[in-house]
Amino acid sequence: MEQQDVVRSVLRDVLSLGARADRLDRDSPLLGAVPELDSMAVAGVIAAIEDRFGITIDDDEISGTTFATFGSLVDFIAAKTA
Amino acid sequence: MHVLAKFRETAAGIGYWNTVLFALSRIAESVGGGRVRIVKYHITVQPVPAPADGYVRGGTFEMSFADKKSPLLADAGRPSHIIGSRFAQGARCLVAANKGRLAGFLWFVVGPYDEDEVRVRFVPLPQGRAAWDFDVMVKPEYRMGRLFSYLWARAGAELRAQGVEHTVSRISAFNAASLASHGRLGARVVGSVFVLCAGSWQFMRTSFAPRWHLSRSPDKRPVVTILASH
Repeated sequence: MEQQDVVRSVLRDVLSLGARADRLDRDSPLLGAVPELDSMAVAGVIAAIEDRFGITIDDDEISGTTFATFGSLVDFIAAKTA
Repeated sequence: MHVLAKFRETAAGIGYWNTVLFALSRIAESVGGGRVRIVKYHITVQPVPAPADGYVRGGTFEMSFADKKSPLLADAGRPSHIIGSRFAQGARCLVAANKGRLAGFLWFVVGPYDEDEVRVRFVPLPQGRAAWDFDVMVKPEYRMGRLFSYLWARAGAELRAQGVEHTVSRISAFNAASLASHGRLGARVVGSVFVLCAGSWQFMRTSFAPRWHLSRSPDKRPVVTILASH
């Protein structure tokens, strides 16, 4: 499975996005456009990403820009796993 | 956006009746110059979170309980008399900071709480096993991180140590996003409180006892008790 498909799967599962997850492309905005992604839910997304990719994400590595678009989140994970 | 389309969009999130109230509240505030206000709260009950050691520590944030002289609270955007009133009621303020600068906070009190937006005293029961939580703030730059979870977990650890099993809170019935967020914490809506303020007059209608209350004096405050668990 490609990296961005894994990210899509994480968002679908943690945020219960259903078919909306399938329509996410690189330019799809996340922050402010996906109501389910709020400050209460984001910790679950980060934990699932750490688990699925076997990485550790420090608090000061993430911000709103990380979650600006689906593409920015995929790029962040690609950089962490490179 | 067309007014009708906007109405329908809002109603999809908060319901038609609350959308009508919301529209009336906006009109009242505009026409009344702030002297007339319409407020409606959902009252929610949520379980105190189970211990999660990794989150209780707060990651890279410095977590502490503030007192009314805490310099961090000066950056909280809350009037000093409100902060003083909260501490006088026995409320505690859990503060998170990053490199010495305020990042977020959360308030709770194990016992009655005098609301500062309207004249209502909320009493969460059973006494000692339910707390009132209120005014949770995370600075925008930290909202897409773990900070809220750190605050919630740390507050939960403190409350559990005191034997508290549930927290009760009020959220605006006009805020669909907040309602959905609370749902993710396992919150359930247990009732509502409607308040109409006109000058010094205040009318309250609630699904809890005493059902309704009318007062004019600033010293008159209805007591609304909420049973969080049996």
